[in-house]
Amino acid sequence: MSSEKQGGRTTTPKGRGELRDQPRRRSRRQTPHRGTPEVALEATELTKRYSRKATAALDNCSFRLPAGRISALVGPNGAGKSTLLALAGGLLRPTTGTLNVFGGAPGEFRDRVAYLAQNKPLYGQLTIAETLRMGAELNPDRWDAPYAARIIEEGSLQPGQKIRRLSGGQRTRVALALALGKRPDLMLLDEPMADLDPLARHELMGTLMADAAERGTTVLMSSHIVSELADACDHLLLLGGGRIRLGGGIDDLLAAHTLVTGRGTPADLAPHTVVEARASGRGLTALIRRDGPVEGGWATEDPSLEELLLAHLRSPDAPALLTPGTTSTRTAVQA
Amino acid sequence: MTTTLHTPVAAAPRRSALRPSGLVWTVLRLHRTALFVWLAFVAFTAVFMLWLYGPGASAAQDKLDAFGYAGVLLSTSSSHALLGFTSGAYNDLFYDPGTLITLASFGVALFAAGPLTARELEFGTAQLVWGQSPSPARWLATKLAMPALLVTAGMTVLTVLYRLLWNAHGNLLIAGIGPRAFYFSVGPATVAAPLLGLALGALAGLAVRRTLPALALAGFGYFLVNAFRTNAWPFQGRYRQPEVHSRSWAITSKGTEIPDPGCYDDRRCLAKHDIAHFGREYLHSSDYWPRQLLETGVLLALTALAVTAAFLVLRRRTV
Repeated sequence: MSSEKQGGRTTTPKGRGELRDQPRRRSRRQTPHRGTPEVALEATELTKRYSRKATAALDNCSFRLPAGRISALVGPNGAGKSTLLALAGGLLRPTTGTLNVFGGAPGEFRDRVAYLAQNKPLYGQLTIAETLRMGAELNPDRWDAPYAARIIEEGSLQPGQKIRRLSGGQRTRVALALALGKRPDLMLLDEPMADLDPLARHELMGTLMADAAERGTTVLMSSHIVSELADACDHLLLLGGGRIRLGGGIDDLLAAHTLVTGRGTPADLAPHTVVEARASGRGLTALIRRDGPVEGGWATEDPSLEELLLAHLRSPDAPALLTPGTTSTRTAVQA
Repeated sequence: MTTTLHTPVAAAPRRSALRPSGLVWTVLRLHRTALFVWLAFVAFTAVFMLWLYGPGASAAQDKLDAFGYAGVLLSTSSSHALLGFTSGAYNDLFYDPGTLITLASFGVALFAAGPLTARELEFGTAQLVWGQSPSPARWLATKLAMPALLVTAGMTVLTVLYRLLWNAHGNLLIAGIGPRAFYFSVGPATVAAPLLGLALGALAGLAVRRTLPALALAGFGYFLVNAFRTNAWPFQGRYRQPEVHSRSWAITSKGTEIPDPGCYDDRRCLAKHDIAHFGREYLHSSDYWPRQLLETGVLLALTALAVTAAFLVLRRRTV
């Protein structure tokens, strides 16, 4: 490990396959061009402190989310995921630093941004039909009534039902219909599927992803369900300690890491960055960020997304890694 | 069932200019119960005052005509209890709309603190609305404007009715603190006070963001306002409301006006003085308008400050 990396600065991995920063799996209307992709979200040294004494929920957090990506926002409890989403939704004011949404302040393009809070707040005294009517009233130019109604119908919900009589999962469906009905360009979803049964989760995720792929919607979605993220997302932002520890296209991030097994100590793995090393039956198993080809008697393996995430969650001190497309332009200049 | 869902939603964007739409529709729908309660309060109080204006006053008026001020006193002492909690005397019933108006003003302050703001922030439904297209500032502006409009309209109607009632039947009230407090408190300030309650409540709700503490804070805040309005502060001693003077007279059967002979309810005494009927009125005080306008000005200035503070508190926390 070089001293620069130990300093905890953002590192740019070298070696096999330069990071491509291309969306995987999906063909997009607006494929982000290298260099000048449209940016959905850009944070520059963003800090949010809820009170003067409290530790910062976000601490000098900088990153960039190119438009058109479906990004998973992952991190341990209390990492600042909900804070980041609320800041992007224009619901909170940052303590310091800036956050740009489509190049403007978070509140500037409210009609283009949908925000779904973790507790799925809705008005209990309204019926489902009235809730959707509210969506239409509040978004006169964008509301897609048939689309919102379809999401409700797929859940076998009656429009005349009062919201307060709905179960948690049914509320989630109504909240999603309200968020999606405005046809946003950026969706900020805070644990969108947590209350849903597996079938409804699969089906709603399908609706969400099909719509996002068709319209090129940018999605930033926090979740703890790795399998759900692996299927749906092509981009990852891992938050820890109020900063992005890992950010970029999922394929690029996976390609930058290797799971090695063999006899030796973590020190033998230099010049690679060791994210996490554990003693296993066959010697040492380590997740490394390669710096050139892996030499020596190490057996190499491509990590899964789950292995990558768990290794980083278990090692909060591992140096941060942001791919070029995910690095905030202003910080990149400074670095 | 599907059609019921589609029709109102699809019809929403195109409607006549008079139908509420957008945020106004949302605010009216969300606080529909409060709206109905307010309309019911205004209607009930107005009808009550109309009754006091017409049929309710006839018994006391007859006593005044027959015995003069003694009749006013008699009509309080001889009347039987009505429903157990009010004496049923005109002198008591006359002030009940005022009590209702004070209670409603407290209600406005509590409504503004709880359901209008703090509950929405506490449960995240305010954030739900901001996550749609309206900005928090526009949300707060609509949330304050709609109730302010309804409070102003309702309170203006009630205040005008109350002044008309005073002009017609104030002479049936027993002299003392009652007519004086009534005379100097009912006017434009009666409309301005609940507006200050609305602003204070909203400020408390936005600052505290939790329903119960916000209700307590708004209740206490409006209690202070009410104490100011009823001259309960020590420093207000110098500005205590002046006396409202009344004038009584008696008319003989020949039509000449003589002073009250002081017969009380002695009919032989009245016959001896040849009195046909009595008259009584409260005199206009030149202090009324200066005091009302000063009070209204102070209340509206405080309202403006509270509204500004509410927007600043909201701006500090959101974008």
